[in-house]
Amino acid sequence: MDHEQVKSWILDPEASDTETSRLAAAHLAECGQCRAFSERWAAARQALEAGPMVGPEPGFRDRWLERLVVARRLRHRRQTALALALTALGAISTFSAMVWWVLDAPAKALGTILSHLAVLDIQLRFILDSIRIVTYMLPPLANLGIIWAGVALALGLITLYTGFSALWTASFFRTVLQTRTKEN
Amino acid sequence: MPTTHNPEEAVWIARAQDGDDMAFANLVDAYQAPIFNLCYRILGDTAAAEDAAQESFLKAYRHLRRYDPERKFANWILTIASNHCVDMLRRRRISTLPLESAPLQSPLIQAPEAVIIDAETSGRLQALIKELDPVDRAAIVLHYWYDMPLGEIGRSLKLTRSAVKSRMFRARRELAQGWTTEDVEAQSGS
Repeated sequence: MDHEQVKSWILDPEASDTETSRLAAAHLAECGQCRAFSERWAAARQALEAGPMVGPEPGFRDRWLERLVVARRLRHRRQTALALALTALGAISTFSAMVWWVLDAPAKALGTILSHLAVLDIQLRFILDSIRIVTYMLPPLANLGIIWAGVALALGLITLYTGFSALWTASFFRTVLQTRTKEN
Repeated sequence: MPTTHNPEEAVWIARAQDGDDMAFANLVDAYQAPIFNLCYRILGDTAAAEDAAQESFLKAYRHLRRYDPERKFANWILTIASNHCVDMLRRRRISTLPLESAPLQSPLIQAPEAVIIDAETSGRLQALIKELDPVDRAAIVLHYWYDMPLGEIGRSLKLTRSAVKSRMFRARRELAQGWTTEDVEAQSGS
């Protein structure tokens, strides 16, 4: 009988049926090499099954809580550093792109800027003319037309800016406060 | 299975999922011994086992929202710890630490009917386990110390049932080959 086959049956008894078990037992009675292997595995298995559970030093829970605080602090620092790095990267990239754009073709860049300014001038003139026409059509407000328009525009911009600022501040504090609360 | 089922466990898990550190600390208290033992058996060193066990609990807390309540919490956390230890071994951070530098802790749990093995046999066994492939080690430890069935081991180690069976077979063969006749005689004499 093949020694390897017998060793397989010894290591995996589920793989053998009654007949193979009988054949293996007969082989073990004759083969000293396989018998020694069987005894060694039996001893190793016994040691595995009787292997004691070992525990940590006392205070494991407290050490874990300390580690949790340190881990959170490190994570927070990493996140802040990452956010700052990304912002810096964005700013540098934008600045570099602008510098490259201007240096690569200064005349073209200047031309584009001037054409944009010209378009902006036309648009502003159009808006101002429109306001003048509207205020002319409304006699009580005619004298104060430009002022009213300016005030409305300023209020709109302030509202927009304040809204965005408030949203940004709220989300920033929410993130920071949540992190601090967890740390404590 | 060395882990004990605690009726408060579900409450602790729910509270920990809401960010209650002390609730998770209770889970750490309940599972520190089995997790430490698993790490010690796979890594073969107490300092590394302490580090791995602590880190496994941190990972578990960080990913607690992914925990499936259908699964036993013990198995879930054992999975995290065993994978962490296998990763540690693969990175070869500690594979060369000598066993002598890490004395075995006193046993915490021992079934009354179990055969008591002496420290020498236990050390010999640990040395042989340390020679196994990291995943084979994890499979052997999960099977013999935690009575985990092959299917559950496969789920933990992301292996098919037949792959686990094949790895267990290879590990058993290596253990049998490494166990000398002198070990057998010493064991039967103790």
